Amino acid sequence: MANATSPWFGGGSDLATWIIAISILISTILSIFAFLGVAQGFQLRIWKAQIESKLRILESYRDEVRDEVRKRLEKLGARNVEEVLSTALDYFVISPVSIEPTDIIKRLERVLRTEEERLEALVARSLGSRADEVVIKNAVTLLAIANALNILYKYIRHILLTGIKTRNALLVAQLWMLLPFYMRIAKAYYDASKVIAKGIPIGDAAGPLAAYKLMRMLPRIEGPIEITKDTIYSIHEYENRRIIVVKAKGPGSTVGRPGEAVEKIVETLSPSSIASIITIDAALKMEGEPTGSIAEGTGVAMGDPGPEKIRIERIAVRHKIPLYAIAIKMGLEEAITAIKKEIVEGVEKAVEHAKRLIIEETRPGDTIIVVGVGNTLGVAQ
Amino acid sequence: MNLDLYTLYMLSMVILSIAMVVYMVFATLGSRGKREPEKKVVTVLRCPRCGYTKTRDFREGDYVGKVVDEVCPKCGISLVVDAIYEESITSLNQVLRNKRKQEGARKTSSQLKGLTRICCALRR
Ligand SMILES: [Zn+2]
Repeated sequence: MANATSPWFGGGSDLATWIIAISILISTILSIFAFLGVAQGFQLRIWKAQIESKLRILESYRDEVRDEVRKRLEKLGARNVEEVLSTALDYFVISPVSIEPTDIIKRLERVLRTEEERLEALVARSLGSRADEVVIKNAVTLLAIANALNILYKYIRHILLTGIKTRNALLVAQLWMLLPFYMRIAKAYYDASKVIAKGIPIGDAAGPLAAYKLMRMLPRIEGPIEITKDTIYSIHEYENRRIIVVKAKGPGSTVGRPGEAVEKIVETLSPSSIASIITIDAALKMEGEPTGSIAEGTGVAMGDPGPEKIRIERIAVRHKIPLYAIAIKMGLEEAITAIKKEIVEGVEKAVEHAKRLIIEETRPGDTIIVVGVGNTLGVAQ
Repeated sequence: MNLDLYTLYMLSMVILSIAMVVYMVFATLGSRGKREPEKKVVTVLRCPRCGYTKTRDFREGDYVGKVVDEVCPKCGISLVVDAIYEESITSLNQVLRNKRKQEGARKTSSQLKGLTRICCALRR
């Protein structure tokens, strides 16, 4: 029996020689390949295959969101659904000229408002007289998500194809390394679409929810009144002070125009009586911070591209009104998916903090504006 | 069986690399099976007069501030949606899955121990 195993164990040094010879041969071939750029070609092919598999996931996200909107619109008896979808999915916004900064914020506002009004009109026309405001707003938000996923998909595909066509391994490598980050965003958008379609409040609704809680808690003097498109305010009494609470008009998915609303309120009232403007908004937490924790600061807590925020800043400067901000912390995914219990608890803390701030920083007889900033989906007034 | 030191060294290298590959495959498979905890969206109803609260599953059409059909058992007035939020639930399935995963991990580690034992035996 000992002889039977001899090819393997009989000549021990023979085997060792073979192993060494083969390894040297393999490494020589590999280093020649490396010189010729073959190794890089192999690597490129692996990256390409992995990016392509992620692209297929991205495509399915986009298609699922698109089909969801189509299904919802068709159920409501909308006409020309395909036309609405094709327009909305490829809709683009050209940012204003920035080398000439005069009035850039006005120009940006114009462009953004036109986008919003155009998409709403598109859905409203398709739905005809059946159009319900909440339904239109939610459909427009879903279309915006489908648009974002579509653009992301096309962008990644473009970089990949350009990299392959020009045999630019670095470009493909860079895309491959950034892909987990893009996929995280895409997944968050995809999850958000499911929540928004059902009308469940998202994490970003923390601001409007705080405004709602204040409105319910304090005795109401007046309101709610729609002061500008999709934005309402109501006047309340608290410890001999007048509290004006501003939020987007719910429960449809909208952020309203809080900047314009505050501007109008300050201008119609006697500005000298306004003691402070408090903004409450969801803020991106740093990794490691607990979800739903709150922090106080100064400035305007608002995550808009600029036009709304600057209106509050300008009016505050003009009338020397102090700006207070309360942030409710959450992660990127948490901000756009179903609101978590921790965030709702954070909202209660934020409301109590705002009340304490009012007592500490203002006197009886003052008027205070409290703005709940964010998307008010699923939160009424 | 005239195993000289050199062959033994070579063989243990081969076995070690096989063990590494096996370990990596198990580690990858183990991390892929990780599932997010199941989540449920609930609606909290509150009586505006006495503060009685009731939690039920979210239904499409619910929104914070909505006056629902259900009435307060004490006051007889309509309840209002006070909050909507997402809860993580640990279902029986989840518990079983976690248990299975732990068992899986134990199995992997015992397999690794087995491999090490074979290595040691060969070297001896
Ligand atoms: Zn009651």
